[in-house]
Amino acid sequence: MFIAGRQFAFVMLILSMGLVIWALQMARKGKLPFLRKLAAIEAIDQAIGRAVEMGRPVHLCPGIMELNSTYAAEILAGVSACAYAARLAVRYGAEFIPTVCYTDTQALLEEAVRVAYFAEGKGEQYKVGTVRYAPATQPYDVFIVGIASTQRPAANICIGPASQQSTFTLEAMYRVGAMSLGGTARTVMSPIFVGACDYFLLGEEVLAVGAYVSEDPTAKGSIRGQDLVKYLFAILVLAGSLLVSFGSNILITLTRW
Amino acid sequence: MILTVQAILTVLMIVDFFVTNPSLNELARQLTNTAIVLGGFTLSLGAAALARFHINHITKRTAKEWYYSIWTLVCVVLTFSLGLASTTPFGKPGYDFLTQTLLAPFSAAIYAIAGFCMFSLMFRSFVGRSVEVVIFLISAFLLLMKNAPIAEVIWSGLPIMGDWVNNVPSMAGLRGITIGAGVGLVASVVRGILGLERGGLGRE
Repeated sequence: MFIAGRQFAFVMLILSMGLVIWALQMARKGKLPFLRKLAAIEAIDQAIGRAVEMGRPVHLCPGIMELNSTYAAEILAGVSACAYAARLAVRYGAEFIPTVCYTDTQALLEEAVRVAYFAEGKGEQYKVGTVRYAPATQPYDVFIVGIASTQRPAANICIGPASQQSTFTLEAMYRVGAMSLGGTARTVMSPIFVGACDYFLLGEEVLAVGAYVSEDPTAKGSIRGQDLVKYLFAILVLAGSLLVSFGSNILITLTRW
Repeated sequence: MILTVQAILTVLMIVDFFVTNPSLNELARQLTNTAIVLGGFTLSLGAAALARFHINHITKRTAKEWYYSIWTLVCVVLTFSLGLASTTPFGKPGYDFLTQTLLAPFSAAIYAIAGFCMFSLMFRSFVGRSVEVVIFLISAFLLLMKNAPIAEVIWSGLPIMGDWVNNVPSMAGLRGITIGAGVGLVASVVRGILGLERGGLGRE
């Protein structure tokens, strides 16, 4: 019944999920974990404040991939970050420009923006079609360059799966003096974000955004679970390295089970 | 309700990955197809948003923008019409002309500009006086030398050093980030199943 070669992965998945659920239960009992601050998320306040002071908009982008892909979780994290930023922008009266290049993400982000307005008690200010869409790939590049040159955003928040378009976005926003906050779990694009952003999120930090910005403290418990699973994998990597160094392939055989 | 459906479908798709069961695998396949079809429907949302945005500019005569909006809408309508007509023998040459003679070179030109953006980003990354920037600069130099034929002429050890940087410290770092992202994904899925990941729906 089980597909051969995936049984070890299944056991590890169940174990990882179990650890995360245990951490959530601990958080429900009031044992909340200490969370180190994610500079990029903390800087969202600063970015919105900067936009308000300068009288210029904030550009929001929840990633540049289709929702119907392996990047779905990262896109949801990007939408969470954009929803959080949109809510702050509505609260402080900053103009914001959410953009997407895939229509399935547009539907999600439009709903997140609508909820942001209503959550801040300014539902009457919400306009249908706040999220701007331009098709991927090159039309979106041109569209972003156009927004940068005509609207001159004061801040640029790009958190989610990145691709070649992110290079255009980051460069165009830099040219108009926008402060850039970015994050991606895609390793091929991470160096570009590290080089181009004022603050950035790396790897699993991106996927923790949803829990980090959540007002529900139990959701934050999952980040502790995430750390426990990381320790587990670190032990496995270390054990594997040592075993292979001493000529044993037992762990490699086990992973192929 | 949405969160319950999300949880059930998530568990179903996870089980489908690990288990061979014809009924379950077929159900998962059908669900994936449904997601693709639903994604297709959202295209109309994108088209509507695009049209609303540009019609708004045209009707309000937004300074420096309204004439571009007319041009955008003309291009959208033209592409759509030629796309529909491409199924007929008369319409195909027009659509081929649009995609192969206009769209392809324009796309290639814009894609090429990304190279210049990279240079600019690299230059800015290297302007700084910290230990990290020095490490970044040396690694980048060695990786460039790994791929540049002139490196072999200057000193045969340069490509070997570049290979080492690529295969050992860089690979170790990348694998660490990948494992971390995978773990983050698991936590994200658990939150989704338990209804705690609501940010994607705009709820905190």
